[in-house]
Parts: sequence; structure tokens; C-alpha cells
Amino acid sequence: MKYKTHALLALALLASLAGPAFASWAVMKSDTAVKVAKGTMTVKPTAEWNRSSLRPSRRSEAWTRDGINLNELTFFGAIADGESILRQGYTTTEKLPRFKSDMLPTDITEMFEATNRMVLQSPVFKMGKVEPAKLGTHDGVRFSYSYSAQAEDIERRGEAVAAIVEGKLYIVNFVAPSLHYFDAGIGEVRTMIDGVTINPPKMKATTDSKTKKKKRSSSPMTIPMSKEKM
Amino acid sequence: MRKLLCSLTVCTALLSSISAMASAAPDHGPRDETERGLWQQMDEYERELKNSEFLMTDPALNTYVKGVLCKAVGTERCGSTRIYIVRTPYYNAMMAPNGMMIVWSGLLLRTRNEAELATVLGHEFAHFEKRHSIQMYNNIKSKTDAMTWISVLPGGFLAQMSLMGSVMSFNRDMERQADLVALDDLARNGYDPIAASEIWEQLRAEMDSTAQGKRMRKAMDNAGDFFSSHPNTKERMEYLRAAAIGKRSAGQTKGVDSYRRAMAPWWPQLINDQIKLNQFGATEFLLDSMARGTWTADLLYARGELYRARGKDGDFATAIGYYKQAISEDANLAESYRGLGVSLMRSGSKDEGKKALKQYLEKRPTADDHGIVSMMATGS
Repeated sequence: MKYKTHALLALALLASLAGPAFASWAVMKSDTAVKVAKGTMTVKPTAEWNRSSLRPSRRSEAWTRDGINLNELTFFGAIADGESILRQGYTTTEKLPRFKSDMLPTDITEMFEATNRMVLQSPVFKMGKVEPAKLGTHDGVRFSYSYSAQAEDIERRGEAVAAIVEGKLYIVNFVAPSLHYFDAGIGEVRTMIDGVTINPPKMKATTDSKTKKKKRSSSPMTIPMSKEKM
Repeated sequence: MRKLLCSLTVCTALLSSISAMASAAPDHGPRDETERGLWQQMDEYERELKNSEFLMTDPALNTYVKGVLCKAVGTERCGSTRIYIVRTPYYNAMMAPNGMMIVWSGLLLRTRNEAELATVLGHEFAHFEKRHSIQMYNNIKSKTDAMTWISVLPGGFLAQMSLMGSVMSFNRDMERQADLVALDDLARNGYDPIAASEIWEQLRAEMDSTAQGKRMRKAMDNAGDFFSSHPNTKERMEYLRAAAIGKRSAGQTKGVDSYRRAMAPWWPQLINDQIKLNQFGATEFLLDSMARGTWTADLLYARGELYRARGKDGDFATAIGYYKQAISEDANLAESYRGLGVSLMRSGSKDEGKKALKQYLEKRPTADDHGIVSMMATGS
């Protein structure tokens, strides 16, 4: 089966167990700045993207252009001390690695790798180049990787930039099949990453998430996961 | 299809008995329409498996593992099987009725010598030859439409295996028969048969160590591995030991050195896959078991990585100790300097940590993480 190919698909599986496997989608217009990951980052897409209502974690959101299976752009914002990148519900076996604000760049990439191996149940995960980079104006780390998920015989590639700002972790992560889709999409994603603005939360994150009301796009679409907008 | 694949212990029954592809002996072939259908499904799964990204295709490794089976059961019999080594860091092996045998990489990490590996391969092979899986398949079919149910299950191969394990397993007589047939084969073909009980001791100890928390035990059951499908290990261990005593003779071997030589190139990957499961207790047990009192540089480095990854209070200090020991055993193990440098920096010794990172970079000038480690080694 194809569910555990990556984070959002796993989320879709969880959702399907609890109810209908539908995500709501909202169009992210090109050249229009938009706040993402509960407002903790601002990005300006240069093309039209679709934002899913299914979140890989409470501090994140996922976008796609052609469907989650073909390209997935995920924003993780303001992950605090003691929190995992993905929600623990993705794995019922072991505790996912937790972020610590004194982590070094290589610790972040190792945490990312371990998290993915556990959620994907796949040892076929290879970290590639890891180098200094900027997330917007902030010093961070860029890392590329490739993997295959259980029972899915295709290779996917990913590239992410992560930075710790005011003790919290921010990640922008792009994943797509190695064949065509990664190369087709990464250029635009890099441009978006260069323009990211980080908006560190003013209040404690836990309070923040409870008090802020969820804002919906003005043009929500409710479509099946298999029929994402092209 | 994969739903019909059984773990050696679990579905082996299912998988191990239908009959012959071109390469299999005639009496292993399907005997009726039902068996023919199952056989065809296995063939289809095998075709998929051949293209899997999880397959470890290294010719030397595959030749070695097949060679162990052939030595254990005889070259005239082993030809009916095809072995596929799948990169999955849990302990298991499976046999399909069409002669397809699947060995998970986690098994190679846990067996400590050739005789132990031969025990597991021979056990699965015995299920195959005795057509246990077709007996179980017919049994299940008569009770429930379990296979149809399984066919719609979501989740990856591991999840499906686990669920299959919950509805089918060989009965005790079949397991005992497979155990004793394999033990006879091993002894007759030059392996020390005591390995059969020793591997059960090892599994039992690992099960105990991982079951320290109920959560861990549940995790292993969920993984659909050997533990969940091989109950009564104490009883098994005992009858295997008793049977082995009468069959031991001079000239039999455990093949410790040959096994280590064959696995040496794979240790780093196998250990790394295990460490990244984030199963601290199980991994520490395994490392200790592998060391058997002799801690090589690789194992010390792995232990350092294990503690560093956990990162609890005191873990960095412990990791630093292991990395330093690893370096004293093998000063060229570059990754030890990396682990040491990061651990020192995380525990406050920044200058010393940077020095270690620079040593790592000198020894691995083309490392993929050279860019970021270089910044860490020189930054403020």
C-alpha cells in the first residue's frame, strides 16, 4: 500500500481510520505573501500551490502543486524544546526524537533522518549533502536526502533548510519522486526558501495555539486526496 | 502477493508448500487449482521483490547466504529456493511455497555465526519441504476468508506481516518438526547443532531485554518479527539442546570467523539501521551480545552513537568515553571523531569538540557533511 510514503500520506491514513479520507484544499496564489505554520513563517510562492487541511503536526502545514504523491512542500514552524517534528501518532512503537534548543546543525539533520526512518518504517533513507544555508535571513543548514518507503518501489528525493531562531526550530522541506518531479520543483522551492520571513511567536507556543482561531482560506476546496488540483 | 507471504514462522506455513517453479524440485509444485493460484501470486510478488529498493543485491553477500543454506541442507536440495535479502532491521526470515526465501537484514545482525544463520535458513527450508504452508493455507481457508481480509489491509509490508501473524501460525507440531529436521541437517552437514538452541537463548534474552517496558514488547510484536510468531521459546530451547547433545561430533563447526568475515563490510550499515530504530534497550543488548566482552572499534563507535542519539543527562559524557575508546582501538575510524566532536560541543567543551571535528574532516575530506561540519569546527 502507498500510505506511508511520507508524512502527509501517513496523516491521511490516520484520518481515514477516524473518518473520511478527504483533505480540504486551499489555493495559495502566486506572488502573494502568506503566513504558514500557524503564522510562524511568511512565504511568497511564485506559482500557485494547494494547501492541505491535514497537518503533519500541529506546528506545520503541507502544500502541493500536483498532488502530495508528486510534490510535497512542508513548513514546520517554532518547534519548541521537547517536541518532535512529526506528531507521535505516526508511530505506535518508539518515541520519536525530540528537539532540544542547544542542538547543533548535524543534530537537526540526524533527528530529521531518524524521525523519517521511524515514520516511514524504512531503513532505505540516505542523507546526502549537508551544508550551511540561510532560511530567509537566518543561519541554518540545508540537507538533501533520498529514500524509499515500505512497499513502494520508487525513490524519492528531498531537500530541506532548517534553522533555530530564538530557541525554536523552523524547517521548510520539499519531497518529490526522484524521477522528474524533484528536479522540476526544487528550483522554485529554493527561491521561496530564500524569501522566507520568520515570525517567532510572541507568546508561549502552547497558549498561542489554543487562543488563536484557525483561519481558513477564502477559497477552500474540498476534494479527494487522489484528485488534487493540477 | 505480499499478503500471502508468511514469516518463516508465521506464514511460512502458507508460503512454504506449494510447488515448483521451473527451478524447484517436481514434488514441490502445486498439486491442485488452489495451490496453483497461490503459487502464481507468490511468483508475482517475487517479480515485484526483484525490483524493490529494499533488496540487498550485493553478489558476495547473496552468494554467502545461499551457500550457508546449501551447506546446511545439501546442494541437491537448496537449488529449489531463491534467497532475497531485504533491508529491514528486524529479525525474521520467510519462505514462500514457490521457493522464494526472504531474509531480513536484522537477522544477519543478530546471528553470531554461520551455524546460527544455517539454523534459521534450515528451519524455513524444512517448512518448505514439508509443505507446511499449504496445510495452514487450507486450514485457514476452511475457517475464514482471512486472506481476502488481509488483501485489503492498509499499511506497508511490515504491518501486513504483523496482521497476518495474528491470524495464522504454524502449529506446534509443525514448528517442532521443522526445528528437528533442520537440526538433523545441520549436524549431518558439518555445523555444530548446539547453535539451534543457542540462537533461541539469544532471542529469549533479547526479548527479555526489550520487554523491560511493555511498550517495547508491544513494538516488537507489532513489527511482525520472529518473537511474535515463535512462542514457547524456553521449551523450544530445551528440546533443541537435548536433541543436539546426541548429534555433536568432532569436525562440526560454528563458523564464527567465516561469518564475521562475510558480514564485516555490512556491520556499519546493519548497526546504523538498528540504532536509528530508536530502541535504546534492544540496541544496547545487541551490541553487548555482539561484543561478547571484546569491544571492537566499530562496536564502541556504535555504542557512542547510541548514547549520543538518546542525549539524556549524562549520555554525552558516556558517549565521549566510548568514542575515545573506539579511537584508541582504531585511530582511522573517522566517524568516531565526528561523534566525539559533537558530543564534546553538546556537553560544553567547545574547543575540544572543534578539534575533534577538524580531525574528522581531515580523515573524511569528501564527506557529504563536510560543509556543515567545517562551519561547526570553525564557527563561534
